Parts: sequence; C-alpha cells; structure tokens
Amino acid sequence: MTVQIKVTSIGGFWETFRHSGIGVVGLIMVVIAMGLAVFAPWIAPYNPKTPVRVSIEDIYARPSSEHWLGTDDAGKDVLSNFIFGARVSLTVGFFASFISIVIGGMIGIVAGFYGGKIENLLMRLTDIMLVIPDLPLAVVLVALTKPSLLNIIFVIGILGWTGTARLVRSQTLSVKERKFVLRARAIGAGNLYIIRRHILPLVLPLMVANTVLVISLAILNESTLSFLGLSDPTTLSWGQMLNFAFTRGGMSAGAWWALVTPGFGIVWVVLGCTLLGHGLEQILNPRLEAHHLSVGAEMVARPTGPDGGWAREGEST
Amino acid sequence: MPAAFADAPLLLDVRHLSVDYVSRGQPAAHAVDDVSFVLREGEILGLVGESGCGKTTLMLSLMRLLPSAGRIVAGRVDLLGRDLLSLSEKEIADVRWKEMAMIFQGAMNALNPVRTIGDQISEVIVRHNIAGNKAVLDGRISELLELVGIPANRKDQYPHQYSGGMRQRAMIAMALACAPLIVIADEPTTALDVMIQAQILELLLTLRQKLGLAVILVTHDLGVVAEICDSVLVMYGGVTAEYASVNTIYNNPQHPYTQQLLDAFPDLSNPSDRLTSIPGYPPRLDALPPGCRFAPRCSVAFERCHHEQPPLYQLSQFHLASCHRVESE
Repeated sequence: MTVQIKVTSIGGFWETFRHSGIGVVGLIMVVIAMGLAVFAPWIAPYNPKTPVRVSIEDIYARPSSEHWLGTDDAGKDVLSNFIFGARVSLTVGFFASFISIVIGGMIGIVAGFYGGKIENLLMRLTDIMLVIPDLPLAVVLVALTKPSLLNIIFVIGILGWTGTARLVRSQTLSVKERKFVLRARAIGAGNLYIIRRHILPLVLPLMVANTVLVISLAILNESTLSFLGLSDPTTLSWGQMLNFAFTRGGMSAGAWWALVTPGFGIVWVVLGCTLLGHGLEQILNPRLEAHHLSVGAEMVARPTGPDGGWAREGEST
Repeated sequence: MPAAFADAPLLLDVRHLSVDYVSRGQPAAHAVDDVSFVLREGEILGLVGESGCGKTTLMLSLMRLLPSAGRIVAGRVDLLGRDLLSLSEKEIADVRWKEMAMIFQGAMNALNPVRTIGDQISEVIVRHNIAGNKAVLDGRISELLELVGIPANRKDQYPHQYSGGMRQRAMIAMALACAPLIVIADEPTTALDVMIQAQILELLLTLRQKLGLAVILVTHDLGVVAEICDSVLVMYGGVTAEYASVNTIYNNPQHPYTQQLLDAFPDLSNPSDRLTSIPGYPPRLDALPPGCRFAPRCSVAFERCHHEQPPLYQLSQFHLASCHRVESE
C-alpha cells in the first residue's frame, strides 16, 4: 500500500489565493503596470528622450491619431511619457519598500525577540519616527541631499519602515513564546539560529504581504515629492508629469490629458498594490485568517450523487 | 531503589536543588525547594504531583532552560559526575539534547508548523554534528522515524498532516536523534487517547530495553506511573513529599499526600467506590504556609505540622518521606 503524500506548497497557496477576488484583481493590475514598465521601449509610440522640434501648435495639443493622449508642455507625447514614467514609479516603489521592509523587519524581529532594554530602545525610536510627519521630513532630506533617483529611493525607504517594524514585532512576540522555540533552545540552538530558522519563517509571510502595501505607499510618496518639484531631473516620473502640467500652464490651457493620465497611473498602481496586499494579507496574516472550511467549497461535504443525494468518494454510480 | 537498578551506573545525581521565580516588587516564589533524586541507567523515574507543584520547573532547571524570571538558587545537578550548573552557556548547549533530551508537553506546540518533520529532526542532528553528509543524515532521520513507528516516507510532511499520536512519536524520535543518555518526558501522553497513550508508553519501554535509556516521566496519571516506572518522586508545593520505589509508593505510602493522591485515583477492582478528592488548593508559591506545606489540607495534621517544616525522613534504604508523623511512628 502506498501512502498518498500531499505537501503544501506554492501550488496550495495559489489555490487559496485564486479564491480571493480582490487579490487577483490587484495582481492583474500590478502585472499590467509592470508589463508597461518592462516593455516600455516597445510599447511607447515615441521615445521621450529624443529631442523634438516644436511649433506652437504642438504644445498641449489635443489627443489626436498622432498623439493618442495629446502632448505636454514640451510638445512631447503624453502616452509615451506615461509609459516610461511607470518605470521610475515602480523602481522607486520596489526599491524603497525593499529598504523599508529590511529595516522594519530587522528592527521588529530584534525588538520582539530580545525584549527588555533593546526592545524599549528600538520601539521608542519607532514611535519617534512614527510621530514625525513623513512628508516634511522627506522634503527636507531630499532637498538637503541632491534630488537624484537614488536619494529619493533612500529617503522614502528609511522613512517608511515604522508600520512594518511594529507589525513584525508583535508577530515575533507571539511566535517566540511558542513551545518549539523552547524546544530549539533545548536542542542547543543559539539566538541567531532560532531567529533564522524558527521565527523568520513564521514572520516572513506577514512581511511579504506588508511589502506590497508598503510599495503603494512608496509610489505615492515618490509622486508627492516629484509633484512638489523634488525629483530627479534626468528621469521622468508620473509625479513629475503632474508637476510640469501643473506649473507650466497645463491647467490654464485646459490640457486635462496631461494631468489625468499620470494621475490615473498613480491611482492604478497604488490601488493594484493595495488590493494585492490585502488579498495576500487575508491568507498570510493569522489574525485575519478565516476557518479552513470556509476557504473552498470542495472541502465541505456536499451532495454529489446524480440525484443530488449524498455519494461517497470513489463510489461511481 | 529496586534491586535491578541498585548497581546500575549512576547517570544523574540531583542534590538539594532549589529554584525561585523572582519578579520585581514581589517576594520570590519558591517553585522548587531542596529536591534531591538520582537516576540510574535504564531507570524510569516517575515525577508526580498536582499542577503547579514545580514538576516542569524542576525538569527545565535540569536542562537550564528556565524562563528569564527563574533562578537556580541552590543545589547541584551532576550528570556523569559533571556539575551542569557550573557549565558555561556554550558548554550546556552542547550537553542539551546530546546527553539529556526532552519530550515536551503538547507536541503540537513543540513542532514548528511551517517546517517539515524531517527538517526539524535534522536540525538536532546537524546542531550536534552527528551525521557527516546528506545521505547519512537522511538515513538517520528515516531510521529514527521507523524506530517510533512512522513510515519514513512521511518525513517530508508538515506537523498538521500528522495525527496527535504521530506528532508525539515524532517528538520522541527527535528526542532520540542524538542517542541521549536521559530523556525527560514532560507529560508525553496528556491529550492523547488511551490507545495512543498505551502505544507511546509501550514505545518508551521498548526503547529503554533497546537503547538503555533512562527516562524521567512527568505525569499526573498514577496509572501510567504504576505501569512503567521503577521509582516515584511525589512533589507537593515545590518540595519532595515522598520518594521511593514504585512498589513502596503503591503498597506502603507514608506521606498523607501520597495516600490521598492514591485514594483519588479510581480503583478498577472496586468501581462502586466513591472517588475521594483532597479538599483545598495547592499552596501559593509566594505565600507558603510556615510549617509543612501540605498541613492546611492534611486530614491528620497536628500542632507541630503548622509551624515546623518536616525534614525528609529516611524510612528504609530507599524510602524517603517528609512528614512529622513518620518520625513519631
């Protein structure tokens, strides 16, 4: 007799995720945005970097067959700018949130695991970071350093870790009291080993779900900074497009396309990330966990017989 | 000491061990007070007592795994002549599991839910560098699982795919991974049904026979003690109430607590008997009575019991009890 062995895996996770409607919608939205960013040179009708000779009619030109979404203040194609802008927004979003998650995760785990004075120190630091308004501080930091892409990523990254740190700490607090941590100690395992092999695997899913939410925050922050004029002048992001349209007469020219398009991009990505994040969180955050029977209809016994009666598995009639 | 073990080599010698729990602004709670016992090769020692009487604290202090508030304030724990309490943190980490392993109370919680059973057994072996390479490691894990009656092909499964009894057996496999001299089993059969319980106990007996294992069995269940233990240590409120061979405890208990504990156990040969219980509650460890700790609940206590703590009286070569009545007899 062979024993059928089912191992929970990525497949099982996907199976659960599939049933979360908003998660799937969010995933599709994020994938579309990423596709735009990755394949920008092939999708975009024009290259924003190639200089164009502009006449007065080309500035804030209405959408036409030549320029589907019109042109901006420099006579450039808005659609192309929009597609290339996705690159900057997503790059900043991913890298800044990566920095946030690493810092927040480390501080959360260390504070939760070691407790005592270390925890007190780290959590008070977190509280201080939490009460300082992000935006003014980010403006100051970006203005002090040079507003380059790298600096912006860095500033957004080191300002966005507080929520993650608190979340991870609370999860660590509960995990470290579990019996298997005592068991690992009884084996002779050290602190680092316990953190790496016993705490992290249980905290990581939460961090992953949190990452996606942090990405949307980072993108929003980047757009805000760019809109305020604190952006890398050599790159073109959605926030910068908004800034140009706003400060260079796009409003008075009635060029709604120059404002709505980048705005739509920001909303699209932020909404996508938020939906995906919530979808993941529903599966991965133990506090939001539903009972396993409510996950899939196939887990609950139901009439399967030809006449709607109850039939046993393997009993073909 | 049962004759069979009197001359077996001495493994563990615990002398006058006292453990306090300290917390700021409150008097220290004396969780374990002056407990001594020995463990010889192949011996199964039963440790019985009510909840909160210090059983688990005593076991954790043997491995120096007390929670941060716990302090070992006095005593010695000699394992093969080496004092465990004087070892450095690094040295004790090497002793843990290699020489003294532990089966934890509640196997469900003692297994990490997101890692496979095989992986978790392997971490023990890897930690103590027993297997040289991957193939030897895999072989050892399969061998351990087979030893406790789990098909080796289930080693890649997660704890939630195991039944309660299997998890407990997996914990036993884990405890045996480094071929320890002593296994501390902290209520290994609580929360299991009687059939599984019988299987687990059977397994412990077989393993003792096969591997010469010494076991400290912490339990509430006097039936289990009668079935497999050689000697019994009855604890009450952190102190030794009575310490004797299993026969002496069952046939000639001297401490009133032991007697009442046995009375509180259902008697199969006379099922119509009413079950008796001991009135009152175990003492609070931070507010112990001045005399004998059992005196407030003892039906035969007299004046002296209430203000003088009885020492451990030696009744015969292997029978100790802490009761003033024993002395006067």
